[in-house]
Amino acid sequence: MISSDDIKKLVVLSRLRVTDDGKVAWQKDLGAVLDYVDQLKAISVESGTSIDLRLKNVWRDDDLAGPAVPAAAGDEELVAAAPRSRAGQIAVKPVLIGKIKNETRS
Amino acid sequence: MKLDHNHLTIASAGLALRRGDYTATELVSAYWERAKLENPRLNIYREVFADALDQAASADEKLRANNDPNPLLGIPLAIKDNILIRGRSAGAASRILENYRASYDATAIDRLRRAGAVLLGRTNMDEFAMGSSTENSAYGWVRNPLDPERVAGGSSGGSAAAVAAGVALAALGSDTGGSIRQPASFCGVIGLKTTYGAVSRSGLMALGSSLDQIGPLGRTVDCVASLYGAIAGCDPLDSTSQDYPPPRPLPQKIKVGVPHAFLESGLDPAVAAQFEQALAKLRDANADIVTVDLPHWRQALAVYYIIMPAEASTNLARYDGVRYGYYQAGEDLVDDYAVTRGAGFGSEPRRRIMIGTYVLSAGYYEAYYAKAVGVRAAITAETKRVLEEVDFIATPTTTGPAFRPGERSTDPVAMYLEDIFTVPANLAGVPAISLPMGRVNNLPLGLQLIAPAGAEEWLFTIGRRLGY
Repeated sequence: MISSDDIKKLVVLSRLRVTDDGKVAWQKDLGAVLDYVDQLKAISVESGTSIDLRLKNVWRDDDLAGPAVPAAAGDEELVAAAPRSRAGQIAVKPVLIGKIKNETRS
Repeated sequence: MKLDHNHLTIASAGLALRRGDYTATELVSAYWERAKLENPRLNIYREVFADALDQAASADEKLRANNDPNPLLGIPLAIKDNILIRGRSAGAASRILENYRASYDATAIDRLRRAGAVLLGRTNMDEFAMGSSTENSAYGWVRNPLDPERVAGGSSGGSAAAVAAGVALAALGSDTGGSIRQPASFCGVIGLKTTYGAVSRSGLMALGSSLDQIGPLGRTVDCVASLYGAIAGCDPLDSTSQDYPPPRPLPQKIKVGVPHAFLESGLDPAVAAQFEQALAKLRDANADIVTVDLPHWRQALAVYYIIMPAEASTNLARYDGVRYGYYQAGEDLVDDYAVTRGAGFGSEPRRRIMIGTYVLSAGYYEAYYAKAVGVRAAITAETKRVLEEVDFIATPTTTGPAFRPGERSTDPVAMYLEDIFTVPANLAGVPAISLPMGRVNNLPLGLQLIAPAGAEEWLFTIGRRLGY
C-alpha cells in the first residue's frame, strides 16, 4: 500500500494539482495497481535489457536542411498553437521570481 | 447509388471504381452521409472531414487518367485521433489538447495521401490511447455497432467501430498493449499490431515509446494488407523504423504453438470452446498444433503496467499548457503546469502519470522499473526462441466478448486485465493479428496469431488460408 505522504510527493513530482479527496482515491487506486505489479518481486531474472544491443547511436549529418527535415510548419503557425503568445513568441511566466519558493506546496 | 456497406472491401471498391460503377466522389459521399447518419447513435467519429469530397475529386482525376494502380486510390479511411493530419484538430480524445491543430502530417498519413486514399474523419478513442473500452474518452464512449449497449473496445474503439459499422472502408489505429487487436475482436473485424519499427511513428502521439505501433483495421485480411503495404517502411523521421526484408514464403505445412499453461490464467469456458474450434480450423489448414512453454508471459501484464506508465509519464510531460492545447493559470510557472495538467488530463492519464513517476523515482526505480526491464528481456528472449520452433503463437485475443460500460471502469486492475493476452507481442516487438473467432452470446471473439518480427506477410497468408 502506498502512503498518503507518498501520494503528496507524487502529485508534486507529476505536476498534477488534485484535491485532497482526490488524493484519498489515488491512494486506493495506485495501491491496487502497485499490489498487482508487486508480483514481479518474486521473479528472479538476470538483469538485462530488451533493447537490441546490435543497434548503435547514429547522428544525422549536421546539415541545416538535410533530407530528414520535413516541410515544417512556419514559426507563426507553431506560435499560434500556444495558448499564450506575445510579439511572435510563446509567452511563459518567469522561472525565477524573487526568492525561490518551496515546491512542496500543492 | 446503393452501396453494400457491410460487405464492401478495398479490393471490391477499387474494382468498381475502375470499372466505372461509381466514382470516388460517389463512393466517398455515400460513406460521408452514412457516417453523419450513424455518428449521433454510435459516437465513432470525433469529426467527419468537410474536405473529404475534395480529396475524392482529386482521386477521380487520377482514376480518369487511368494510370494509377494504387489499391487505396479513392478509398475512404478513418484515422484514430492520435495520428496527426496537418491543419486538422488532433486531440487524442483529451481536453488538454482542446483547440490544438496539427502542424504536420504523420508519416503514415503522408503515405496514405500519396497512395490517393481519402481521409474521411478522425475517430474517438480512450484518452491518449489509455484504456480498453473508450470509456476514458473525454467525449463519451463509442458504442459497439453489433450491440450498442456494449463497448467497442479500446483504445482504437472508434476505428474498429468505423469498419464494423460500414462508416469507413478501413482504418488506422495504434497499439501499445492491444489497442488495435482488442477492439477489432470486440467489433468482429481484423486488426494488425505491426512489428516494432515496421511503421513510422512520426506524428503519432507517444504513449509508450518502446511499445507503440500504428496499424490497420479492416473487414478482410486483404484490406489490412493494402493499408500495411502503404504505410510500412523505414522513415528518417522515426529512428526506430526500419525496412524488414520480406520473410521466406510461408510453407503449406505450418506449426502453431499454443501456450496452454499461460492461457489457463483467465479463459472462460465458452471462449475456450471457440478457441478449440479455431485450432481445429488451423489443423484443417494444414497446421500442426503444439504446446509451447512461455513461462515469463505470466508476468507480461505486470511488466507492461510498469514500463508503459513509466514511458507515458515521460511522454506526457510535454502537455504543460505552454506550447499547445489547454491552459489554466496558476500562481506561477510551476503552478501553471500543475493546474493545467490537473484539469486537462482525465483520470486515467493522471493515474498512469503518477504510477510512472512512482516506478521511476529514486528508491523505487530498481524494484519496479529495472526489474520490469529485466523480466521484459526474458519475455522477449523466450518469445523469439519459441518463434524459431513454430511459425505462429495462437491465443484468443481477449478473455471474453465486448462488455457493458461501467463493468470494468470502477476497478483499474480489472480493466488492465483486458490486455493480458495482447501485451506480450508489444513487449517482444513482434507482429500480431486478430482474426474473427466465432461468437459467444452472439458477440464476436478474436483469434490472435503472433508471428516473428517482420513476418506480417505470414499473418496475411494464414489469415487468407483461414478464409478471411
